[in-house]
Amino acid sequence: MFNRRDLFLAAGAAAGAAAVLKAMPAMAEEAANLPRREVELVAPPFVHPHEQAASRGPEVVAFKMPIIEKEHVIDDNGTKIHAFTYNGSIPGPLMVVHEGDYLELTLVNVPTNQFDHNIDFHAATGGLGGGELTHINPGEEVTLRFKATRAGVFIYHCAPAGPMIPWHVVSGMNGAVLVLPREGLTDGAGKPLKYDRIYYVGEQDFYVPRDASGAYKTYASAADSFVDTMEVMHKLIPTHVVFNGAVGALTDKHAMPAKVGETVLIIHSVANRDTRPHLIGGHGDYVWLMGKFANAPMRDLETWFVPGGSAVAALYTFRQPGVYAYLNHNLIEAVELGATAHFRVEGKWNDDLMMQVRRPAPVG
Amino acid sequence: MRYSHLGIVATVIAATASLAAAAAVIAPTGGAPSVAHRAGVATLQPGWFAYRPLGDFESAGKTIDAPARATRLDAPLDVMVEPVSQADYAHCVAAAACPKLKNVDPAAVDLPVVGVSWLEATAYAEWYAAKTGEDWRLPTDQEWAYAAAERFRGEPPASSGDDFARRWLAKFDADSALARQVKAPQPFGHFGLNTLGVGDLSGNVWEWTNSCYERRALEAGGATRLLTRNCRVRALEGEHRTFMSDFIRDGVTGGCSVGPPPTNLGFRLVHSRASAVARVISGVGALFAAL
Repeated sequence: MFNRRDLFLAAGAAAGAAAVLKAMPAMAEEAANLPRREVELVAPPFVHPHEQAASRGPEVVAFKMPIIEKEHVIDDNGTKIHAFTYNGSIPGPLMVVHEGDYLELTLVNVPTNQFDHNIDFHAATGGLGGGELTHINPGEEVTLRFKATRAGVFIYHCAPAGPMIPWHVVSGMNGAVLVLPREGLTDGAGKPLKYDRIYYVGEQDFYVPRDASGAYKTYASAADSFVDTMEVMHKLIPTHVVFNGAVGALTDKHAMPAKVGETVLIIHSVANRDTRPHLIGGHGDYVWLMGKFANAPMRDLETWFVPGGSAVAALYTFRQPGVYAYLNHNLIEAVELGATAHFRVEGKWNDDLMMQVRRPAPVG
Repeated sequence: MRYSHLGIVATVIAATASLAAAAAVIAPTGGAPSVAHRAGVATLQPGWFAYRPLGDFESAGKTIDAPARATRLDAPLDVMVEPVSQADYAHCVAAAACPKLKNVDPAAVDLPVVGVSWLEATAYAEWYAAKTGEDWRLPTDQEWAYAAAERFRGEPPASSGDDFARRWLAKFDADSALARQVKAPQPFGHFGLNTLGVGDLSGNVWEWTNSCYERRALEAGGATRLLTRNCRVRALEGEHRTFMSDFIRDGVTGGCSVGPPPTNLGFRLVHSRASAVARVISGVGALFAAL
């Protein structure tokens, strides 16, 4: 029933959008004359190849992304949800452009889907972040273009209507856009900051209903799960808080590799709840708190804050080999609910930075 | 001491190969009639086997792998063919000797009880021993390893020299490679019998042992010296060895921990059958150890 109501809403919105477009003056001339580049998206935590400092002038950077509704396992016990995804992954892929570029997205609602969807870019200006112009039903596609007017890292998410908004977001429909300054990152005082690797961590809260025995319930369809899931959501206590879609998606053999001496840019987005990333054994050398590059980065942070509905960029140069846990430093959420990642760092141990002066031994 | 050690690894291969012959009897033994669903029992005969002791080892101030030792089971050992079932455990609860647990079905005669801490496993063992008049108890880590035979994995050696970071990453890789198991307890027989006729070892239930965490130093002559023993932490055996605080009912991984946690915590009991023959063999073992 929610589905049908939303289809109706979506149809109305589409008609309205068409009227708005017709009334617009021809302001798209500039973008039409710019070079156009198509970029293939990559599943997180990896990011598609890109320049850090732009070697060319502004361009139209075109992406294509299917929306895929699918069953998705979120923990080691095989707990399954009906996920809604951008490009098949949770979070959706990171899209990288430069300030002054135009981000053009073709969004495809594949015919096998059950629901209407759209996309709201926090990096975009007007039109509810593009949400008003991108409502599509199963079997439809739409192309949106917006000018990247501010440098920073911004989330995007689905925002169809009413209760569909939080439901779609906690079913996996969120991701991030990285708008780099044309000259690349700097420390705020003119010193360029470069990274050797970039990883995209998307934090996700799930609200899975339980049966009388306490076991997680599974449902024949997403629609069947809606009423129970909303009940759990209303209590505001997630059953799972995970990185990249599932408990363990970035730990153990899925650890993010790096080497001593390499500088890593970690993008951390969270669409719904607040979080506080911490790198155990490391630091945030430069952290753009609130994620916007017109502001100078903060230095030497131990833990940084990411308000729900935003993303943060943190730069760190690894100085010691070994295992680093990167987690939400609400340790209940990290250890019990799943919000943990690992970095696996190779290199030579530096005794000057740390050494075990005396082994564990009986007291005395 | 139930075990004698012989620091010659080369002799172990042959001893291990003859393990299959060591299980002489697999037969239900008579027990207290009030215990309705007593599992079958495998009686293991004494023998040598290769064993890396549990805990952390050091030598000359460096972390080393636990030294492999030819180790001997000195006396015949009765081992429950299956872990203690939910129905078994429910009897102990009904007798007010074991704490009530979640998800224990008194009708489940063919499902292992899981979500059990060492404290509850020990309470069950004490109740069961009193009921049967036999000294049923949790196995030591060595006994479990012997009974598991070819299913025993323990802690694989890190084998990456003494560079701290390389050992650490090697352990990370080894732990990361461990497969995750399904959570739901499986009916007895699902994971099959080993060559000694002991069932469902190293499946998705990790089993409590009586062995405490230890830190030892390897001395120049090959002997080990105990540095620390912590008995609030006990060894669990299964698809890999792990240590757990005695009050924990369910292992969870996360944060700095690496690799899958033990999927379920359960247990089975053993009891020793001391015999004149076993004592003689034990004497021979001690003689070997003295050489």
